[in-house]
Amino acid sequence: MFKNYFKIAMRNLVNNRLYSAINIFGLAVGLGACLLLFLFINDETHFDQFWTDADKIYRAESLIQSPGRGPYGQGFTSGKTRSTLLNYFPQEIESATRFHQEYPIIQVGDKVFEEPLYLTDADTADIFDIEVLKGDLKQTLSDNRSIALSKELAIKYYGNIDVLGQVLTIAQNNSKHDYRVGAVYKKLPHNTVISFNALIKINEDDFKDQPWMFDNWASPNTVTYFKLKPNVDISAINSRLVSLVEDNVSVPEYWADQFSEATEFISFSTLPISKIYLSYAGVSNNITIFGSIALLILVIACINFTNLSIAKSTRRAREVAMRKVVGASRKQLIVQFLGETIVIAFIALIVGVALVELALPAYNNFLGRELQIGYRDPFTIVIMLALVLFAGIVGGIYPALILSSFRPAAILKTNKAITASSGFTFSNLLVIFQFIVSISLIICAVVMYAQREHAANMELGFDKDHIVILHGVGRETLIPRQQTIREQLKKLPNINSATYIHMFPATGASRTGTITVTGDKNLTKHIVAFKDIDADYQNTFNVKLLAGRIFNKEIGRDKMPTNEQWENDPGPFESNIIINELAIKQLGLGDKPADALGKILEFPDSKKLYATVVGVFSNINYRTTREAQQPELYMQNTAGAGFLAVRFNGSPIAVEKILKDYWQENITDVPFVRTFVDELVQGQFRGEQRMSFMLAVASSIAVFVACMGLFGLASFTAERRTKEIGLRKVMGANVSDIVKLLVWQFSKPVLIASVAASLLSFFLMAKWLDDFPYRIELWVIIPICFAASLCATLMAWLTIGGNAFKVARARPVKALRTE
Amino acid sequence: MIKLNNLSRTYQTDEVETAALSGVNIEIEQGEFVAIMGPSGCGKSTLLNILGMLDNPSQGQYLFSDEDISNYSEAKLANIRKQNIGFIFQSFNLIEELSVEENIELALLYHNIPTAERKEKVIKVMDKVGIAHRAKHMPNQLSGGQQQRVAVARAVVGNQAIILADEPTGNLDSVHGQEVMEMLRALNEEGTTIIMVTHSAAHAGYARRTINLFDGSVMTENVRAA
Repeated sequence: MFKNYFKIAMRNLVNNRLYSAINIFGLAVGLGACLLLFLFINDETHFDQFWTDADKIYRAESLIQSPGRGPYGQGFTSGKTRSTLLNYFPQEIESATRFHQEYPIIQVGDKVFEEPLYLTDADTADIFDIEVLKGDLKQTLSDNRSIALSKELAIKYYGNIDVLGQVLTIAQNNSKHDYRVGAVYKKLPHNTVISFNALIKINEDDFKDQPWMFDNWASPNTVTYFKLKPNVDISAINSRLVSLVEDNVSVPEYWADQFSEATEFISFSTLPISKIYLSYAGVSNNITIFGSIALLILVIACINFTNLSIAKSTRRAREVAMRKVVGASRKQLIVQFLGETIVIAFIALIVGVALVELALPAYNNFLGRELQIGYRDPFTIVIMLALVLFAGIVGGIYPALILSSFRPAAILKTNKAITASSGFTFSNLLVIFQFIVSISLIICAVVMYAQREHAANMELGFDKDHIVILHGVGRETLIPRQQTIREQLKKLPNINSATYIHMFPATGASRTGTITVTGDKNLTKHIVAFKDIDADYQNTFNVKLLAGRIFNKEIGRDKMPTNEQWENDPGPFESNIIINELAIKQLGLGDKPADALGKILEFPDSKKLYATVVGVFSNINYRTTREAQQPELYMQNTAGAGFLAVRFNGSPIAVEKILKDYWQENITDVPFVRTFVDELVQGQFRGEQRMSFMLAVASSIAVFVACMGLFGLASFTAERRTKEIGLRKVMGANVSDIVKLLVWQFSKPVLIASVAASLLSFFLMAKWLDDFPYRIELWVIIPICFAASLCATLMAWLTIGGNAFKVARARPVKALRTE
Repeated sequence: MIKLNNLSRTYQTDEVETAALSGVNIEIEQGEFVAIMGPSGCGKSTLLNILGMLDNPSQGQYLFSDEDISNYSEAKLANIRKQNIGFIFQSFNLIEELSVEENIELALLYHNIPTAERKEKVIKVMDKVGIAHRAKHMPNQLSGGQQQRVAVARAVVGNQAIILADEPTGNLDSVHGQEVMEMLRALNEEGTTIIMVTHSAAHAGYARRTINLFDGSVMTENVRAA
């Protein structure tokens, strides 16, 4: 019996070439898109599962409540966490390690590099099975003056990996030390949250002058991982994390008046290493979105199946009738038809896999991954077979039910095929659904693109295209030379001004705190951003002075108290500050800028600071266009600035060369590293850029597959309506009348879908845009909806128009003869 | 009105060339009632299709109102066709999805006639063929005779000068066949030219002239005395 089914299925495939091609290719594209998205999702959900002890490795998390600032910590913990965990859970924890990132200057021979370097503990070698190519990792990390290099870094520095015993110099934390290369290890795969170019041991003695680095509970500077002993459940740890705080942590002195118990300001939790990546912002969101898109594309392809089968069912009616006459049960017929669609789906899968293999290089390039189809991975195989079954059953069930329900007598007696009229409205519904999805995807892709363009090209108030930031100026050796460097730079051609900054613009970085306004009876605490600036800030960032004056180097009150004064003087302190326009309203200092002058702000620390407003700056968007502007307080404080922002004119490439030449001539112990601000701004929206690109590709695929279905459906309908068309022509209809007739039939569902998709996408995108403080106007979505609808309609017309034209142009006698 | 000069129609299938018509010479005057007879496969329907401009001749001349239309494009033919010719088919060829009046209206739909006028003409013609009481019915709710009356109505609603009937009584019983023939005769008496293919000698008797075809050629022409 199955042989007979198979024979019929194959003959049907071959005889209905158009139908088969549309079904197989459309479904192959759908399955291929699904597979690509599956590979991505599979990769995203399998981070850090390759470690031998993956199920025993956890990250300690801390959450610190701080007055005047939101809770912070998350993945970071105090440097004291490791030893405390090991002491508190000797029965449960086998080993624990910390990671702390530094950007030291590394000197190799006469070359200098600024390189991210991880400081860690020797247990890293026990917890993570890192493949060591040369030397001994554990021994290296147990030694205070040894370094482990990745293969890539060894080759960058020395040209080969036979580098054991080589010596390089690392300048960090105001000190310089020689390190001997003790191990070379293989780069970790991309699917892990830990990655490091080079490792050295955390030597706490090197940080004696920075006690907060590893010895302060409120200062989370390290990432702590620990490994459980065999047969220990994590709940044994989790249940005692509160008592761990009670037994080991005390409230820092400077917060003594804020918190009475340590548990009020700090709490710990744990996260399995394999869940860390998924906990990153946006990751699980992306997985949901991409998964849904994959499913939608698959459903669109399945709908082609259903619709073409229904359209074709009139042709199969006689076969069904005859099978019934000779005794086939309805169930057997359903099995037969489902079997056929599953066979087609399987062929489509093979074609789809071939398409995926073709697309993978570009896809990997786009994602920056090395994904491949795991032909021997049971999970992948199961997913592929599940896709085939899903496509076969979802695509085939409705036509199978319809076809098997035909009553043989009706078909055989009337000597003609019945037209399942209900089936045609159902087909229309499915076509409408396909186009709702396709058009919505187009709209979302365009809106996301438009928002990205809008936010990335927004006027930030400081001409982002003409500022470059130089790194390394906060290095110990350069600090005494800062003023000289600035003056020398300003004399270079094309350089306008330069200001020392503590935080990058356009990265979202910000330092916030609370203040009160003197004379405010309610003592309202306002959260404001603090920014340390120098006199050149105004010129460099194009800020306008709206009232008052800028800082003067000669006026003592214009400077903030130094760290030394702050430590030794009991206070209270007095100082002058500048605020931005936004702060006037938020702090209630008056209506116009001049009103704010002379107002006094209080810093409610243990030591009082009274700050008098002497100037008001215009607002600029120093952070990102993702966040709303804040009220800001500017203070003159140049100590500790790590970067120099340089305003220039002319071409960035020429300026880079000028700066680099200057740097290499004058500064030898710190490498030249620069960042252009417009690159930073572009980088901020990489997520949106990637998402809108993925959506654009997905919507193209969806439109393509939907149009293929429409093409098939139109061909079948034209065939079904051949006689009618012939008659209309005999009655005097000309070619354009017939084309209009056929095209209009399929325009209706597309137009209905346009309206539905526009409404749906409008609300969806309006909600998405809500998260952006600076967003495109909502009305912009409306023309986008129109354009997307028009585009889909034109695609549909193009798809069916050719066929309709062909049908319409045929001599009517041909149509009548098919009787 | 119609003049065929040495007209041929061949069909090309794979390697075989079949001549459906060869060297046909026919002249038909306005107001005539002509019957075309002959055995199956002799080229009757091909001749009718060419006369009706549904098909082009392979060779020879087709003069319609002194205009040689044998090489006209489909678009041009469609224009002449819709001004002048009405069709009646053996299998009625009504559109199943359209009601009786909609089927008849179809013949006016492509003539740029205002809706109101169209409705009026349809009602008039339905009265004439006695199908008005079935105006809202669908074709499959009618008997064969009724369906053919709808087809006749559709053929004449546009006041076409010529009606081509391809075995109009072939699917009907004798009573209904008679009815349709009477209708055609009445139309002819009002001045409509009628060209009819038939197998029935009795129905051929309604015509003034009978053309006998055999193997694609005109064998004999009998003219009945008025």
